[in-house]
Amino acid sequence: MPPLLLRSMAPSLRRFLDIVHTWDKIEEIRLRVNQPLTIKEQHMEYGINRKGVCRLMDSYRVTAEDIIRTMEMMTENSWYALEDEIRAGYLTLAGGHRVGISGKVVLENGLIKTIKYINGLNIRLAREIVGAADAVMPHILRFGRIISTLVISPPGCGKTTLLRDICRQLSNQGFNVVVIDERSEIAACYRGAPQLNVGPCTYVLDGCPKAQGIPMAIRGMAPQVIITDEAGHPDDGLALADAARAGVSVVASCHGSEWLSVKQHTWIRQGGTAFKQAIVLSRRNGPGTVEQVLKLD
Amino acid sequence: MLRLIGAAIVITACGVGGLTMARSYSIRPQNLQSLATAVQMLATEIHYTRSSLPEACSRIAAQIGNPVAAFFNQFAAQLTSNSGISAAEAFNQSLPVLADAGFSQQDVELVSQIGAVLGRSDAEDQLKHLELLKTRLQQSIAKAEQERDKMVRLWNYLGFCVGALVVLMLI
Repeated sequence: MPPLLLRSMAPSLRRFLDIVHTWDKIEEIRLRVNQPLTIKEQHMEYGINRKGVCRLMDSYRVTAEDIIRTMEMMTENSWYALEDEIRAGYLTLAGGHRVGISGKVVLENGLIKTIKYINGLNIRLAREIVGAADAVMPHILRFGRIISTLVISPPGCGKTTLLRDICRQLSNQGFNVVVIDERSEIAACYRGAPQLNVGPCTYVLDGCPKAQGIPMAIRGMAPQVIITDEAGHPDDGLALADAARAGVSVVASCHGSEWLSVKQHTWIRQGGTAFKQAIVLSRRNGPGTVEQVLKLD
Repeated sequence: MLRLIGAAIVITACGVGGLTMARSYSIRPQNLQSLATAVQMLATEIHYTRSSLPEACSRIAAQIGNPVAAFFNQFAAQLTSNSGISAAEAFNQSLPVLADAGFSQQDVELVSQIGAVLGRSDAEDQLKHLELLKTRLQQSIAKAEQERDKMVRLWNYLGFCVGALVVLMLI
């Protein structure tokens, strides 16, 4: 197991996870209270018990104590330091791994204040696939110009991996790239330092809301391209359209499975003009399968 | 001659005992004050920089004198030991540093209460707990100062007097 990730797990789980040796294939580790410890690879899910890898039903049952202790390890015993991330439902670990959190949501004035009685953690292993964007780069970079692109995909189809590789490749070619990494997924910053390769000419605004980060980047960083993940709020659309008007190319992603449904969203109506093309991904031939490259006019 | 030497030894021993007692009374408010300062620093670290506990504690240890620095160093070292220890366990395992440095049982118990909650909630809640601890420490400091004013002078002389009394009784 990657040592940095192992350090973030409760000691009671470390001894099971230490048995697994196929870390390059694992996509997720799922912990749910009183349910089997689950490992997810691309096409299968399995469990682990004392004897080794096993069927899910024979897997070690995760206890509430395992989850509490794992949370303590992941937050370095400092819940308060990550309270904003916890409120948003996820953490980023050293190494760029992402952890989704479920539990009892505590509301204050209708807004989420925190999550207590944590009952589940979904650890998504950060995977850098250098060259993931090879197939789409000819569409994105044409005649030395970056074409503003929207990457559309359902969750788990490699949208962030693709964005990261686009970012790395553009940066490697000397373009001044700014990543607005609101959810710390693209560069996977841990204490400010990117944990994944985003290229030599890339600035990362980590944890920054897109609508605020995009104007900041345009004013302060003189970017040639702004890259951002999971646009969806109407303000994101306005900010992206502003960037396009300012002559900055944008590469963004959003959840969806086809352009026809995505274009109905308010944020696209606000800022859809920012994009010149859309790339649709699926998992048909594994994560990152390019289904379509659409010209938008 | 031997008697004289014996008497001197008895008086010196009792006197030193008395001085040590006096010193423990005079050092307690200083130690508590230093601890209260550290608690205030921790509150500031949590409030403004949201530093993680190990980071904040090492920084505090570097800025404050012993024995409180030794305690925070030990706590930070336990937290970063990668052994999967929780903050409460690390805190409890570091408390003997305070006890060995002359903090009274009562003081150590006061501090130990924060160990159970440290790092386990959001900043607002942490600050409330630290504020409460600070208030209690201030009360302890006030009491310790009163005791110091009363007891230091008493013990400074009492040791020697008891020594002299013992000598008189033995002669």
